Amino acid sequence: MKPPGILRVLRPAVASFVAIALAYLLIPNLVIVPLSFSAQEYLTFPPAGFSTKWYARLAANPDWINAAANSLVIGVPTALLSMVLGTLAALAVVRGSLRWAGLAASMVVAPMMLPHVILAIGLYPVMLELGLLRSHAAAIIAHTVVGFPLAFITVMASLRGSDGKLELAAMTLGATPWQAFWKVTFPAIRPGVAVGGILAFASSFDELMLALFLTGATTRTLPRLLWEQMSDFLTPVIAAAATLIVAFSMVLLLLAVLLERKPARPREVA
Amino acid sequence: MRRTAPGEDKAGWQLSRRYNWLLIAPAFFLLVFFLWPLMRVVVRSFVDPAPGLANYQAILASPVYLRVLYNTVETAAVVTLLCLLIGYPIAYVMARAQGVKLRIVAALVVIPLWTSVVIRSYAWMVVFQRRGVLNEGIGTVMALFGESHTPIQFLPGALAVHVGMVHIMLPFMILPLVASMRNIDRRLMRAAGVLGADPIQSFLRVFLPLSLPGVSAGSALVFMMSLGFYVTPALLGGPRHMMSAVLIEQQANQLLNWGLASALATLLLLVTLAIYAVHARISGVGLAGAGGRA
Repeated sequence: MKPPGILRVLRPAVASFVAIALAYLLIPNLVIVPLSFSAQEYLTFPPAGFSTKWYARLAANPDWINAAANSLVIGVPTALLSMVLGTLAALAVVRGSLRWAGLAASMVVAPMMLPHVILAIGLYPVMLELGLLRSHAAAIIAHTVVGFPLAFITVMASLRGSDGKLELAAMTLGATPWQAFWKVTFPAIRPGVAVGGILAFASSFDELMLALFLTGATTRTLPRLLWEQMSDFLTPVIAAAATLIVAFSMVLLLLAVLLERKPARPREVA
Repeated sequence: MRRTAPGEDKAGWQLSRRYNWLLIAPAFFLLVFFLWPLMRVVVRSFVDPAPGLANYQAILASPVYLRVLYNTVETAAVVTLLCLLIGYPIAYVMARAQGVKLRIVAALVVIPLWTSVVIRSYAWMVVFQRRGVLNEGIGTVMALFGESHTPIQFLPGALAVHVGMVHIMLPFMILPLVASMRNIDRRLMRAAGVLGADPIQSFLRVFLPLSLPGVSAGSALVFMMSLGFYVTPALLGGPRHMMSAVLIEQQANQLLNWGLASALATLLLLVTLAIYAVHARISGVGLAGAGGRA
C-alpha cells in the first residue's frame, strides 16, 4: 500500500507550498501600508511609531496633486477611446466575415505583448513631428495603443457569448443597423465594454515607459513622478502616495468584478 | 472566428460584410501609431547616424551590450521557469477550488495584478535593502540563538530582480494555466483510477499532458513580457544585472544615442516575434484568448 502513503505526505506538502506562494503575492501590499504610517524619516521595518504626517506632506505638495490630475486627464480619455476602438475591432472580428480575422485579432493584441520601450522610442519622433510631444494628447494616444487590446479582448468575449442572430432579427423587423446596435447588441455587450474601459484606464494609470518618453514636466503622470522621486530619495512620502494609489486601484478592481458578475445572473445555465 | 456558415442566407451574409467596415478605424489607428513607429525604429537602426550596419557592429563588438542582451534572455528564461514551478500548483488548486476557497485564491492572484508595477518594485526595495524587512528578520532570528547578523547586501542583485519579476509575472502564468485546467474532463482522471492507475500516475499520465496547452500559453506570455521589463531591473538590478529595456531607455533618453537604441530595440523586437511565432506554431492559436488581465 505504497501510493496512499505518499499521498498522505504529498497533499499537505502541496497545500502548504500553495499557501506560502499566495502569501508571497501579498507581501508588497503588506509592506507599503504600514510604512506609510511610520513616524520616522527613514525607511525602517517594522516602522516605529504612528503618524499621518506623510499624508499631510503629500497633500501639501502641488507636484503630487498635478501628477494625479494628469493621470486622470490622460486615463479617462484613454478608457473612452479604448472602448470605442476595442468595440469596433471586436465587432468586425467576431461578427464580420473577414478571411484574415485571426491575423487581425493578433495584430490588435500585439501592442500589449511587445516591450513598451520599443513603441516609446518609435512614437517619440512621430509625436515630435505632429507637434504633440509632452502634451496630454501624446500620452492618451500612446496609452490607447497599449490599452485598447484589453477592451478588444473583453468585448470579444461578450460578443461570443451573445447571439448574433438577434441583430439580424431586429433588422428583419425594420430596425436600422444603428438602432439594432444600440437596442440589441450594445445592451448584451455592455459589461464587456465597461470592464474593457476599466482595464484600459488601469493600464494607463500604471504605465511608466511611454510616459517617460512622451510627457513633460507639466504633463507627467503619477507613475512617472513616483519613479523620479524614487531615484532621488526614499522617504515614507512615497509609501503614502503608493498606499493611496493602491487603494484607488482596489476600488477599480472591485468595480470590474461587480460589473462582470452582473450578466451571469439572468442566464443560470453554465 | 467566422460566425457565418457558407450556406447562410443572403441577409446574414450582407450584414457580416457590413461589420467588416468597422475595422477601418482601429486599423488606421494601429497603422499610424503602432506599425509606423515600429517601422521607424527598424529603419532608424540602419540610417542613424549614417546609413549602414554600424549600430549592429557596435553591439557585436561590445562585450557590455552583448552581456546585457544575454542577461535579458537569461533573466526572462529563469523568471518563466520559476513562474511555471510556483504557478502550476497554485493553478491546480485554483482549478479544483469552488465557492469561498476559489474566491479567496482568485482574489490573492488578481490583487497584485492591479497593484502598480512601480509600487511593487518599490516595496521589494524596502524588503531587500540593507536595513530592510529581510535583513531585520534574519537578524531577529539570529538574535534568538545569540548570534549577531551583519546585513547581507541584496541590492543590487539577481535575487531581488528575480523575486520582483516573478511576483509581477506570476498571475500571467496562473490565469492561462487555470483556463486550460478547467477544460480537462475530470472523468478522465476517474477512468484512469478505475483502470488501476494510482493518483500520482493518473496525474502524470493524464492531467499533466492535458494541461500542456496552458503551460505553453502561459510560458510564451511570461517570457515575452519579461523580455521588455524595465522598472524592476532598473530599480533592483543595478548595472551588473542590466536588461535591454533599461539600456535602450538610457541610450535614447539620456545619451541621445538613438541609432544604437533603435538597433537594440530591433533585436528585442525580433526575439519577441520569434517567441510568438514558435508558440503560435506549437499551439496553433494566438495568445488573444489566453492572456488578459482579470
